[in-house]
Amino acid sequence: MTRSMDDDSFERDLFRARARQMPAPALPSVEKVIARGESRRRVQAVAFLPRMIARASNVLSKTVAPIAMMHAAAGIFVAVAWGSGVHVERARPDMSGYADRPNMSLEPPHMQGGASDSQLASVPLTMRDRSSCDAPFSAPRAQESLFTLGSSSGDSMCMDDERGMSRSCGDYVTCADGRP
Amino acid sequence: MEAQDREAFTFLYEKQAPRIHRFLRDLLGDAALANDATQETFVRAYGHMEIVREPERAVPWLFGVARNVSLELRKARARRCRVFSDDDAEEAMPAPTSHSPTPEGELLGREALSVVDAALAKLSLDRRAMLLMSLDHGLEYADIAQLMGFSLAKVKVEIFRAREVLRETFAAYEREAERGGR
Repeated sequence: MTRSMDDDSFERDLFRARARQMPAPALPSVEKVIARGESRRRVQAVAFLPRMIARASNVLSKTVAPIAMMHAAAGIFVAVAWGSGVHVERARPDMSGYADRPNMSLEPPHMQGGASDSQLASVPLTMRDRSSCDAPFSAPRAQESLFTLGSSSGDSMCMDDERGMSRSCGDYVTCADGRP
Repeated sequence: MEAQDREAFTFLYEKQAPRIHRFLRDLLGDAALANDATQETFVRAYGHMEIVREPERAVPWLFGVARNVSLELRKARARRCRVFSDDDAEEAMPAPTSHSPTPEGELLGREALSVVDAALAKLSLDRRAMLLMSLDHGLEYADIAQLMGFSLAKVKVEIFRAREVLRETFAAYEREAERGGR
């Protein structure tokens, strides 16, 4: 039988028949999605800061020591993020003796002594400093890429050099040379 | 979050999440990945309550977000593939996942599943997305054009060509069935 291309009811029937027999997906509860949405909202409330601070520090680093500027910028960001209720972790893989708790020194006061799982789940930010990358970070792009947003709960985002916070990237972090 | 917003979001999620999941599974070719992508789509929707409050506007918008999420996941997957496999940097087009049909489905819609899946596997991602949005999910051409960033004419042509592929696939299936029945 020849079917007219003007009439798409045949194709729609095919899709309907297909949809009917598909097993229902095992989706998370709406409460879980809302909790993640709230977490994301908290991240976004401070997410513009790393880029802004990185740009400012980049300008200043032309006259001031870059490493000192980097640490100063990191300090400002950590302080503001804490004030906004967002815990910022600062990865310091070179901190010998703190291998099990590399972020200990930057935990906010209410988390000192260990955070509960629920607290950690609401901790959406991770910030890496230059010690996690071997490559130099004098270029503006590299400096921006040092600020990485991630989450201990798997709900994560990171700064994209070109487009701002527009992609999920829980599993990779860019260093100045592009390595994870 | 206000109670009204929560109610609107819950309604949208319960009504649309299964459809979004089906759409994403067809785009990503992986049911587990589609689960994550569906969740991510609604987490993003949560940040746009002004749209969620208007269901007629929210549905096409959700499909646009879902498509973006699927593209991002595919890029991330391609990157991971490059790390693990240097000799196959180009990501192969995933075919939609095969399903485990229910006994009822075995009887009623086996043809629909295999024909549609086979046809979708032949389509480019954009064409596949447009066909699904139009025929499977009932979006208007104008909405599809807007969320894909294409002209209305292009959307019509792309969907027309995708339908041709679907019909050709079905015709081949019918011919095969006839030969097998003799």
